Amino acid sequence: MKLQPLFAFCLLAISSFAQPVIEPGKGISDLKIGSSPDEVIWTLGFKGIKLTKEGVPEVLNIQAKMLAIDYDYVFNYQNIMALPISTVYFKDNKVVMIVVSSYPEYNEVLCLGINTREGLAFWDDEQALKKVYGKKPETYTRDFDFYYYLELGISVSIEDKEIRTMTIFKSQS
Amino acid sequence: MIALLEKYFRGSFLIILSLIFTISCTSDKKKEGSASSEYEEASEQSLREQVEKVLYEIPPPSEIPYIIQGTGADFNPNIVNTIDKYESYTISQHKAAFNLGVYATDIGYLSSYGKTQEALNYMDVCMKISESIGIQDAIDLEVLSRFEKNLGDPDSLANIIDESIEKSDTYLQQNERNNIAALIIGGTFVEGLYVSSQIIDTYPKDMLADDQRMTILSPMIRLLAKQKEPLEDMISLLKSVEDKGDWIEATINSLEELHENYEAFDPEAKIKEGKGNEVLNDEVLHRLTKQIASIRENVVY
Repeated sequence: MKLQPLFAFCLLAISSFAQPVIEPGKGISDLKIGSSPDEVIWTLGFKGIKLTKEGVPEVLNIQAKMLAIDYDYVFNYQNIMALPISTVYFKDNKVVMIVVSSYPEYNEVLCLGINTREGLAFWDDEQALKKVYGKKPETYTRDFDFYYYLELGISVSIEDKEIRTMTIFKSQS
Repeated sequence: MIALLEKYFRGSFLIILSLIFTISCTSDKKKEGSASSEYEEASEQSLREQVEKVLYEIPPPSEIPYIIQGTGADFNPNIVNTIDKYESYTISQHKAAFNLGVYATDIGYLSSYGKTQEALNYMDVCMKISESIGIQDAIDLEVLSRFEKNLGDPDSLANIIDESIEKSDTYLQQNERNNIAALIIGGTFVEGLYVSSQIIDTYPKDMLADDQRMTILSPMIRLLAKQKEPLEDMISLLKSVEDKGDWIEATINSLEELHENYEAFDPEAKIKEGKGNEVLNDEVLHRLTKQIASIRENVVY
């Protein structure tokens, strides 16, 4: 996505507000790895659509397989809400993985103001990823190009050279 | 006095809304010789009816500001959406229309505290957003001018409102811009819920005992509870919109979850059971407040 002047203006305007921060291996804002379903619903305000592992479409399985993260069910969100969360994965009723997505139109502006704790932003490129985390990530390609750091607990998907999703999971060091 | 206030506060909202409809309708009148299919016409008719129902047959949440007077709550500048963000909304037509509705309700809130200049500033932003939606050419400048001149005169304002509503009603029968109308109404609705729930949530807790706070806030809580049916109508209205796209679908999903929670929100029952003091600490109320704030935050971000 090319940042148009208007978008740049928005970014400046948004920067004056307290923004959610993605903490690799931990969570985003009050939504944490290890949270219960009730805590997730309370934090987001919504439960979305609950899908069991058997009913999850393959596209939601890609990263779980890639990262070897087992889960029982997910909350899948197609809601307007304060955080741009698309899917939350649960194992034994605890959050094990959180996908933050800039893809839906209603999430796009929210993601403009979100960085990781180390400063990685949505729409950054692969070079920025390596610069921020200081080393080459593992990669996997299926539908999208995924770049991940198992030891940090973060994965990103890149399309057209821009980061469009960030996934948080427990670090696997 | 209350009736006067009601007209005044409701008016500042309705005048904007009816202006917007006037604008939207005049800018896109039916094309002569249009060969719309029967299905399309039926669909358009259905949407038009939904718009009219929500607009005219249910109590608008924008009535809420005058009830604020009864609570004695101080003006809270953090409740209204700031106007410096309006340019960011023009990126998306959906977002622009929705926030036009948000600002319209905010004008009602500002007016209820006599913030005349601020209300005019918000009016100006509404005009700019209207331009971004491409409906600026048909702005009824005369009505706008009269609105500005009479902002401090409730009686004159009420007459202008009545006239504008009549005009917009006529235009609604002719227009093809009901999708935009539905989104504007959606914005007013969400902001109305937000204002009322925030008044309850942010009312000072250390000044009065729970039972006294409940006495003061009960009209607001009742009004919030009464929005269940309007919420159903709002969902139906948005479902009637053609070519919804992700944004409206996601809005519907969130409003439907809000409605699920509304099913469990029954402050009247608690009061009848003699548990009125529990209402303010009701988990369902807190969750409603949280959901409304979450939806609204996305809308105005």
